[in-house]
Amino acid sequence: MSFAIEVKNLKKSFGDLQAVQDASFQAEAGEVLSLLGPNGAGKSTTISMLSGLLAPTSGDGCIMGHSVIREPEAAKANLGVVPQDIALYPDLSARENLVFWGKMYGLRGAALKSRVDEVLEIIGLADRQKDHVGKFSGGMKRRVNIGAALLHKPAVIIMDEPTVGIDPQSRRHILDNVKELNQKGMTVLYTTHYMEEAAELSNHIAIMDKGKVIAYGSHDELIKMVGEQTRIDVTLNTEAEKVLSAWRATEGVSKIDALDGKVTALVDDSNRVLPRLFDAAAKASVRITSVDIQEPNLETVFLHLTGRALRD
Amino acid sequence: MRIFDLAFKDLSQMLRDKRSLLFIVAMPIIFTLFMGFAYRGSTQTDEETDNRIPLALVDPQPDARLNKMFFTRLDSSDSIKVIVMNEDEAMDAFRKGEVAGVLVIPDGFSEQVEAGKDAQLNLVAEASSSEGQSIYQLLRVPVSQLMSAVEVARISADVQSNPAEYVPSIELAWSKWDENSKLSLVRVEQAVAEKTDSDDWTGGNPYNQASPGILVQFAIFGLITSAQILVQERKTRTLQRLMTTAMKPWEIVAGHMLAMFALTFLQTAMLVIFGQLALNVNYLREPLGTLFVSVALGLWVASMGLLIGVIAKGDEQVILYSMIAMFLFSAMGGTWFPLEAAGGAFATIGKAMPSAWAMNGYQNILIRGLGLDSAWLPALVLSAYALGFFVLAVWRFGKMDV
Amino acid sequence: MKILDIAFKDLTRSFRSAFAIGMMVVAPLMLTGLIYFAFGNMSGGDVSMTAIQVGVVNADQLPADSAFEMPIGEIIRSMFFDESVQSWITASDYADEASARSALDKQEIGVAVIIPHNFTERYWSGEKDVQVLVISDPTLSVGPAIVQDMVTMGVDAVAGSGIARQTIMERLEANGIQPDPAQIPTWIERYGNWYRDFQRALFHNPDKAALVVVAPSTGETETADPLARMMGLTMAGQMIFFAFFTGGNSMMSILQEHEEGTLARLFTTPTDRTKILMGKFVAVFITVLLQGMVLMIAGRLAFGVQWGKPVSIALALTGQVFAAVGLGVLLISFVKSTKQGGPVLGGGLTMLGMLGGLFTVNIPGGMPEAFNAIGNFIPQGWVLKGWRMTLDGSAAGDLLIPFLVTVAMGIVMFAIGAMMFRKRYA
Repeated sequence: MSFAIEVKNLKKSFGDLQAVQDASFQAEAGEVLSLLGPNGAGKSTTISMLSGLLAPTSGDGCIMGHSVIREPEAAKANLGVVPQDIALYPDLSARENLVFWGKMYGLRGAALKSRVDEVLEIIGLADRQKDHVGKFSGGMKRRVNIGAALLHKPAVIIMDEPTVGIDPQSRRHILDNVKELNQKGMTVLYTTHYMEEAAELSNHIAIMDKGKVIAYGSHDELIKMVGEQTRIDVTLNTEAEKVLSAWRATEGVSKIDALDGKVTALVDDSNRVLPRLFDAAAKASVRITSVDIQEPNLETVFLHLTGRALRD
Repeated sequence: MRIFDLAFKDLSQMLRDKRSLLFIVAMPIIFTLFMGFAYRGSTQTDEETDNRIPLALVDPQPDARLNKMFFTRLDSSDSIKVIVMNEDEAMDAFRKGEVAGVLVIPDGFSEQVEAGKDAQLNLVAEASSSEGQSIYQLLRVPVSQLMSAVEVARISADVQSNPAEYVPSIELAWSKWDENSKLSLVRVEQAVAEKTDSDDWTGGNPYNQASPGILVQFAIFGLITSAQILVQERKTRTLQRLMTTAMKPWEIVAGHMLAMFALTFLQTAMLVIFGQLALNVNYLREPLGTLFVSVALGLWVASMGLLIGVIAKGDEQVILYSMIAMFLFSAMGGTWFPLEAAGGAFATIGKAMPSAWAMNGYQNILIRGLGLDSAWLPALVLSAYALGFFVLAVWRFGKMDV
Repeated sequence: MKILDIAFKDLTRSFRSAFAIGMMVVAPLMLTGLIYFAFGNMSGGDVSMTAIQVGVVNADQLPADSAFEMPIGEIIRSMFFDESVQSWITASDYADEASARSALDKQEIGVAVIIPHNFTERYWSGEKDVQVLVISDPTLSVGPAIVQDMVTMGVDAVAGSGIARQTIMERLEANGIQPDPAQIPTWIERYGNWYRDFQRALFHNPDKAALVVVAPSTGETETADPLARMMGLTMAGQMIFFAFFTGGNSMMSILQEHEEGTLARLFTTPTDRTKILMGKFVAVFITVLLQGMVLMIAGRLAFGVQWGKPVSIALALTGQVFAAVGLGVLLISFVKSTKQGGPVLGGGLTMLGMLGGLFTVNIPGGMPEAFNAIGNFIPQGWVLKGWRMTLDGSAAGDLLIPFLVTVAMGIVMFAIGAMMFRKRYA
């Protein structure tokens, strides 16, 4: 079967640093695949290799069957990239930016003109097309940033953390955009460290940590990895060190992670384990100020797999 | 105290940019060396080398009376080396740079002059080159004397109403001019407080001129680095952050200005020390005078850098305004060409420029050999300019869109 | 096609940038205008410099029984107070050498002329070491040179009169004729009139001057319009400097795009990286070419610069473009950010411009030969050579060497710079 995106044993080293180690995953045509992981997991490096910005140390990636190493132009012709930071010419207008990027994707003449008109409608900036991008608000810039990747109607689109640092309304808008694009048949590779985005959008999720793909599957498949385990988030009135070793040894606790005064634990049965945790805390003269019990989610999966919370 | 903290922060940022530092430190040193080398070539002579200016002489009638007389005089010159050639050879030698000029004596020159008609000697030379100009100046005297001898001979023949008197008269007159040429009736001296063994205007050290000129020019050039700090602060929004602290606006301005002053002064100090130790430019013959001028120069440049940093909206504008300032003050301040050679209005304005005053201050000490008294006025004028720019900068800072 | 798209995009951005337009066109015209302001009242050979402040100490006196009517010292002194020089010499009398020296130290005067006691008598008696002393401010060069010239001319005028008198009398005596003293003033007057006319022609009338300087290639008299020649050279110097700046600054667009993120985005498109670089180089080339043409037209219209023969102009301009683009690519290939680019461009090009002689094209007296020799290693120096020859009216054939050298330098620098860029962005 031919995949829209296929990554095989991709590796990238910078001197002694192994930024990406032996990553493998694939996405079928028309699906949304999320690359989920904390900062520094290797997500950006992986998509830089797929985009043709970085040469892999070893391994390969394919876009619509074209190797990014051996057939880079053919691969890129099928790929649209939305970088994390705005990558536009601030002193050119929205239209001028789109026209230029369209040309870079091989569009010309009437076809280019009509496609630019179309994209301006899609991103909702037809009435501002003649204004310089430098004068746009952050949200508007992001829309043009996405629009520039859609001009050549790519089969695959890579979106690198497109919602970082933006307001909830714009974020919502972008997520809806992604769904729309996907509904039109586009394969989307979406990188994020927000698990709720990955959960909402994706057909499949590849979880990365420290340069490795540590899990791959659909949302339900990944959740099943943690079985019936429940996640408990506990806030303490002091450093967790005082009670951590006692809690680790508590029966029913499978994984535990602490950061400052917040502890995240995976437990078999929250009803039975919680009182034990309270007892241990009391014995250590540590006061629990809040308790949050959550059904297993991707964060739980990450904790299960790495022993660390996704926020780390 | 916070002012110093801010200044220290600015300085650390400026000193961390190695490439910019290279141009603030290395370039003025390299330039000083080159300019001194260039001036040295024009003022010092080697006893063994023939330093006479080579001149090609094209003379179709070498045996004609005036031609012969003229050639004899030129051939014995200490300043011109005459080489007789035909016209093609001469022009070829000129094109190759083997001779500085070609003097063409036209056919019939001697006859025409002695008959009282106009005749011209043509000197083919680059009027804008130093050699071209020198050779013209050097030829004027023997030409004037030759024509004078002809006129004297004519008068003598007329007085005796005897045309045959012309020849002995011209020979006698010419020999008297020969004798007169050996007299030096005009002596030239430089007005320097401390005499040197050298006659040249640099006091025997070509770096006396090169060093302060480059120093002033590059002090202004350092504006770019200073002004960029302020612009970067606006860009990274750390200036806005500063203004949310307890620091008052004037403290922020003062802190930045202090850093800019420190950079300029450090650069100046480095160049003064380099000049003193490596190039024998005696800045420290009047250390307080040099210090006053250097401090005042630093204050003026810093206040200008502050103004540019406040006005400029981005790095590009910093470069543009800084370069315009550098060119304007350098050109009008007399670091590119002597103001004495410029037109009246330009020279008058130029002399008022702070750069001209800075040059004046250093030249008083280095070239004129004057004392501390001579440094007061330049330092005062520079400080007044510094105050003016500072006030403008503070006013503009207050209106700035942070 | 994509090469042209990238070039067109860069050109659009360039010409929308006030900074770029400022540095390409406004700055060179402004600087040339400054020079015009400095020297603009010198057309037609009139010299209107700042007045030279001259202090005269005349201790020359004639004894009561002297045969001379006027002491030589008075003749020399009166030259500086003559009406004809009042526009460019401001003369004042000083009682003695000490007061004149003091005035020099205070910079009240630029030159002091000290005529010693009994100069006339001592001179005519044949005393060998009698001298007029000219003391100058060591920071001045033009004024003192002019004053020295004037004093020498004055002394020569007197010497000439003396030689005339002596020659005529000796010849009369040689022929056994007793000279009539009453005739001497007539001889001196006739000689003096001739000398005055001769000097006037020498300095003010190129058609009648006994010695004229002619330009090497056109054969035209150099003194015809010194201002036009000077403005041509000045404009050429500025044009060259800013052409090289534009070359480097335009090339900075690659760093700017790197910082903006658009370069990386370009690399994600199906566009060969070599084409991306080529597009940028084409933009730089066109920008520098257009700039040169605009400045030449502006120079012609604003300052009356006569650039020369059309083919020679084309060669000089082409050499300039190649060299400026090549050096720009090379310089920027060493730089990692736009922040570093500023000092590198501004500082590096200023240094090379100075060494190439761009800022000293019109220095009175020119620059020393060693300095001129350095220019042979600097691209700007060769470009300036080409423009000097073009402004002098040289034919295209004469320009072949500077043209080939500038193009070769440009290509070599371009190749090295392009290689470094390829390595960086490969």
